This record gives sequence, C-alpha cells and structure tokens, in this order.
Amino acid sequence: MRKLSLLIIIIAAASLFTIGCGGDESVSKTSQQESAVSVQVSVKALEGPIAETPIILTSAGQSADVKMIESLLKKGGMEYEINEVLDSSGLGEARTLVIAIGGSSKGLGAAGIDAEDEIDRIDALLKEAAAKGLTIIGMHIGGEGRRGELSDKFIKASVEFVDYLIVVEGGDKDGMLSGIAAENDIFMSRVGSIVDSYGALKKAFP
Amino acid sequence: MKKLMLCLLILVVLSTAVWAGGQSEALPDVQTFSVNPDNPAIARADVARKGMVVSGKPVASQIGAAILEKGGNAIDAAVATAFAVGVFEPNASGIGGGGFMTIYLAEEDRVVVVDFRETSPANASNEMFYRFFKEDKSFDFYGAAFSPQAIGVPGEVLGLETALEKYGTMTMEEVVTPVYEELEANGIEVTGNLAGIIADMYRILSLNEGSADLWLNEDGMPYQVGDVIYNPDLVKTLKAIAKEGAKAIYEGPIAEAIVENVQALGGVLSLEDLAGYKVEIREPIVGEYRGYEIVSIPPASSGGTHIVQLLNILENFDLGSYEHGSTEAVHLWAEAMKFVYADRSKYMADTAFVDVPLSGLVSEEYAKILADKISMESVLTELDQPDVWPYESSSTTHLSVMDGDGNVVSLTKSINFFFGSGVTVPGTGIIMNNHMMDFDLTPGSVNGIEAGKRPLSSMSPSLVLKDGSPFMVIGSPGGSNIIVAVAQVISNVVDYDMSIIDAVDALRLVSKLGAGITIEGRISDDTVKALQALGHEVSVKDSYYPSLGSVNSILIDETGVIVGVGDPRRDGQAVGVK
Repeated sequence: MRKLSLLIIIIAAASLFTIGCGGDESVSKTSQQESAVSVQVSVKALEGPIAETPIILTSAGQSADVKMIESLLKKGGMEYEINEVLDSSGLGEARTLVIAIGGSSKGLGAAGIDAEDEIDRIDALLKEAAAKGLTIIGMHIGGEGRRGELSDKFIKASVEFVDYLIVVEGGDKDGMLSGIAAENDIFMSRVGSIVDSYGALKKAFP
Repeated sequence: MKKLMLCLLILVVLSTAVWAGGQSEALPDVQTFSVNPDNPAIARADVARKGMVVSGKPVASQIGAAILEKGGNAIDAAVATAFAVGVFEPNASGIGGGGFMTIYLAEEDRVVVVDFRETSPANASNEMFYRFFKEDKSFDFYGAAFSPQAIGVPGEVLGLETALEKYGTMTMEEVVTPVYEELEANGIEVTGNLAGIIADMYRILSLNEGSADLWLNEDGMPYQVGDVIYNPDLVKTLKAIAKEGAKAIYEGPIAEAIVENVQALGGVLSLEDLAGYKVEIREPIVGEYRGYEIVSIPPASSGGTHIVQLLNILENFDLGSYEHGSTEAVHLWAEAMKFVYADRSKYMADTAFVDVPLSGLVSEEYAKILADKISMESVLTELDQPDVWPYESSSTTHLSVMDGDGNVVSLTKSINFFFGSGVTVPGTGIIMNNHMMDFDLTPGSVNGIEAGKRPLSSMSPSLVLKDGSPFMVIGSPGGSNIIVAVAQVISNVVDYDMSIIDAVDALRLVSKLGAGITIEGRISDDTVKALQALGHEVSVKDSYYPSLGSVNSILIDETGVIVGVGDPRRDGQAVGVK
C-alpha cells in the first residue's frame, strides 16, 4: 500500500513537473535577476594623479594582501618601502602611504598583536600621515573573502581617512566600501582582480 | 513538442523505478534524518546500504565510493580516498605528511590501528629552533613553523601501503590510478575554502619557489574561486607510486629530489631518514560511554585517550537532562575540557620514548575525581598545568569509510599547517609537512625532539561500537580541538538522541584554562551572558567555525541503513553505495 501511495505521489509530482516544463525559463530569469542584485553607490572617480613617491606600504589587519600589493609594486618597478607594522613615527620621507586593508587572525597572531592594538596603531598612523600632508591610498584587494567581522573592523577604522580607495569588486557587493567613500567624498576605483588593482594605483601617480 | 516527449519519458522512467524499487526495501530520504530542514549538513549527507565514503572533498568521496562499487573493501576505498583527498584538498594533507587509521575488520571482529605519523629526522634537535627565540625571549613560532627544520619524515605513503597490503584486497595501482586520472583530466577545483586558504598563506607560498610556481597563478597572485589548478608533477609522482608502491617515495629519484630540496633550504631530512621510516601497527585505546564502546587512537596521538577521558568525566553528570547549548551544558563541557587539556600537556608523548599513564588517564575512577572538582555555580580558574602546546594547527583532514561487509576505516591525516611547511618540492608536486612543530621545545618536556620520535598529535580517527559492532565512524581535523569536536558529536548522538546529521551540525565549543570558551555564533545572547556571569570568558565566533573541526562521520542504524555526513564547516561530502 505504501509503495502504491509512493507511485501515485511520484506520478503526481512528475505531472506537475510536466506542466512546469514550459515555465522554467521565466523562473530562471527571476532567480538570475535576484542573484545579480548588488548595492550600487555612486562614487567619485579619480581623474588624474594625486600622489607622489616615495611610497610607504603598510597593512591594516595584517592579512597577506599587503604582500600581494608589494609584489605588484615590485613587478611594476615602483619605488617603495614596506613596514607591515608601521607606527606613526616611521613615516620618514614618504609622500604617499599605501595601506592594505583586511584582517587575518593568522596574520595578527604571527605579528603578535590583537585586533584592538592594530586598530589603535592604524588610527594613530593615519592621523599622523594626514597631518603631515601625505596622500593616503587604501587598497582592499581580498574580495568577498576579505570581508566579515574582523576585516570590517579595519575597513571602518581606515577607509574614511584615505584620499583614494581601490577595491576588488567582490569586496563591495554590499556597498559598504563605496558607501563610506561616497559619504566622505573619497576617490574610488572598483577593479575586477588583484592584478587590475595595480593599474588603478598607477593612475594616482604622475 | 520536444519538452512534452522529454516529460513523458521521465514519467515512464520514474514509474519503472518505482516498480523496480519493489524488489528491495527503499532507502529513507536524507531529510528524514534531520529535525531542521535548514540544516546545511543535509546537502553533505547520503544514505546507503552497501557502503559509504565521507571525506573532506566530494571528488575524493566519489573516487572512494567507485572503489567500493568495483568490489574493493573499506580499506581499499579508504586508501584511494586518502590519496585523492591529499590531491584535491592539498592544503590539509598529502604524500609529504602523515596520519593514523583505525580499522575494524568485520570477519575477525577486531580493531587495529595503523600509525603513520611523521618522525623526527635523525639530525633534528631542540637546538635547531633556538634561533627563533627573539631578544625578548619570546619565540617566533611562525618563523620556526615555516622553516625547513620543521619538516618531519613523512609516513603517509608507507602507511597507506601497509594498510592496503595487510587488510585490503586491491593493488596500489588499482587504487591510485583513478586519483591521478582525475587530477590529470580535471585538475583541482578552487573552492571558496581553498581560495581563502591560498590567499591567507600567500606570504609563505610566495617565498618558496616550488610553492609559488604551483599554488599561485601566472601573475604570481592567489587563484580565485572557480579557477582550476593543474599539478602535472604530482600526476607523475602518483604514477610512480602506482607502479612501484611506497618505494617510489622512500628511495630513488623522488626521495633524492625531496632531500636535495629540503637540505638546500637548510633542513635536516636525509635519505637515511626516508629509507628508515617505519609504520607502527598498534592496539587501540578503548573506553566506554553510557554503554557504547569508544575505540580510538593511542599515542603518538593524544586524541583517543583524551576523548575517552573527557567522556568519562561527563559520564558523572546527567548531561542529557540539560538542554543542548544551555548554560549548564556549555559550562559542564567547558570545565571538563580544562582538565583534559591540562593532562595532555603534562603527560602525553610518544610512548616509545616516554612512559605515559594511559590506563590512569582513561580510568573512570580518575575521571570521577576530576568530575567532583566541577561546580555548577563557579568556574575553575586554577589547575596544576598550563597548556604548553597551544599552537597545533587545524589544517588536517578526516575520512570515514564503511563497506557492505561491515569493514570500517576511520582515517585522519595531515601536513600540519595549511600547506604544511610551505615547501613544495619542485618536480614532484609534493608539499612537505611541518609536524616538527608538534614537539615541545620547553626544556624537560616529555614531548621534546629526539631522533626517530613521533611528535604528539591530537588526531583521533575513532569508532563507536554498540553491542560490539560498529555504530559510528568518526574523526576530525582541528588541531587540539579535534578531541572536543569528536567527543561533542558522540555526546550529541548518545546524550541527545540526535541523528548523525544533526549531531554534526550542532553548536560546538572548546574551552581551555586561561583561554576561555570559544563557541559558535548560534549560541544565544542570554546564554553568553549567563556564562559570563558564572565567570567564563566567552569568545563567540562564526555560526559554523571551521577551527572547531570538520567531523566527517558515518552512523549505522539498527535497520542496517548507513548514514554518512560531511561537516558543513568545510568542504566535506558523503557518497553512498546504494
């Protein structure tokens, strides 16, 4: 009896499926439209150079993204210094501060610092850099994977201080980064990949 | 018209299937094993009668299940799956690592343990790590972990070969061929999990030529989700293993390439170390929890011993009377865990070198003494021993396999940190472990480095027996969190009568003296506040926190239905043989 019931149910389900066969295109269109929804905020595009060398590169959150940016600078032949735990007294002769934004608990652990100390360091550094008239360029290149509770702390602590923000677009699906940029009148470039971020960075220099 | 024909055809096929199904009892649906329709573990589960493979990667489980379908037994399938998971989850385990397997042989009704944990090279010593002590006497653990001195003598291939020859039915060629064929044809899919790990490990991978060439893209940047990584050198290595067996790794050109590369980087691994590596066949640790027999790994892993100890302590409380995840239940777990981790630090090491009071640690009398120290009204703030091994990595992998004859394999293996030492040997596709970091450099420690010694592990491939027969096959990655992850899933089934799918999904925690409770984000705010009021420090993590394990499990119910489930915290997947 149970088997007979099962058969009836399956035939009924299959019949419904048959009826539905003609309608799947519109269903799929709807779901495609839904999945494509992302927050689009209008931001100010960079129109010309705003920065000059020498560059000093540091991290906000101790993720490995800072090393990826270093690789791009090295490959591009740009003159730079790197100090992943740069403090406000270490800006030296630099004219531009590039900051790799994104948290990593492993990176913080390896550096022997906790998130709150890292935020304090960044806050003091960014304020000093601004006071000294440096151009500050923020780079969030880790995409969607470099978002979440930890990384968002560093985004909130740093983005409003930057003059120019470069974002690999997966990291701004919710519009958080572009929202802060728009609110603070910050130049912003969205790029498709980490490698593309170098082109956006280069645009900031003569 | 074409659509109408297709639909009619589907109707005919379904009708036929139903009548054909009348020939044998239908399998229950996976969803019937969860009380929560939104449980993410459902998508990673399967139900079968003739066998089951659960591993950290879907493609590895499929390769193992195909071996069962070809007539291989659980050991054959486990060895194939182990090779496959080492290829397709390259960050966690592989030829350059080691591990443990617990095997239940149905015909002989006995359990054996195959220990293929790495050993210390003959020329290794505590002193070789002293250069990582900084001026302020702090230790640069990560500097040491990614140094070539951290590479131990790998045991994986000889361990898998030993298991296959002693307890399997197929040849190495039969179990390895599908692995390299899949790798050659389709490469390694970069999932979100793998992409995140590569990005996190960029610092390390970019520093090693072999790793940068293989694990970073042509721009020298991390691969992205959806990319495919091809590893032709590993295909060659696997072909050599298929043809020559473990000998291909422990002597000859591949061994020479490994040693040459490691020594050029400054490591101490030698050809003699590789040629002299020995697998150990051991008796399991056995305990009992509320009528179920817990069978697990003895030293050189601490895991089995401390799972039994933890459950022994909890057996003194009516845990099931407290709601799962309630203040009382979390408090009990948190307090009991503190004792276990303290004892682990004090006593545990390779028993070939050190006397370990194993029978005491797993005795119910000792557990009662510890249980009596737990108060429901206050928090333990002092024990005799601190945890001196806080750095064990969570990058490991576990697989569980059962065949239609009732043979069972529980297997955990690792290269320690994500991508091990970060050293990929050019021309071989092999990532070398950094398991020397599981030794303790504290002077006088029972777990100090000695030539040929196995570093302490937490890997716990375990079985739960009911009335003498396999009931659960269970294990996890997660470093020292393995112990508590496995114990919690066992308790969820035994104390809360959860299905294995819900038990794997359920909220997890870990607690260590001085580190407080780390718990998943599904805990209620009120419970967190109540725990804090008791005196606990509570760190709330993601809803599904990968560091709290990936318990890829099997449960065999009383009707003979085999339910397998991959842990949704990572990329686990069950594949059944219907």
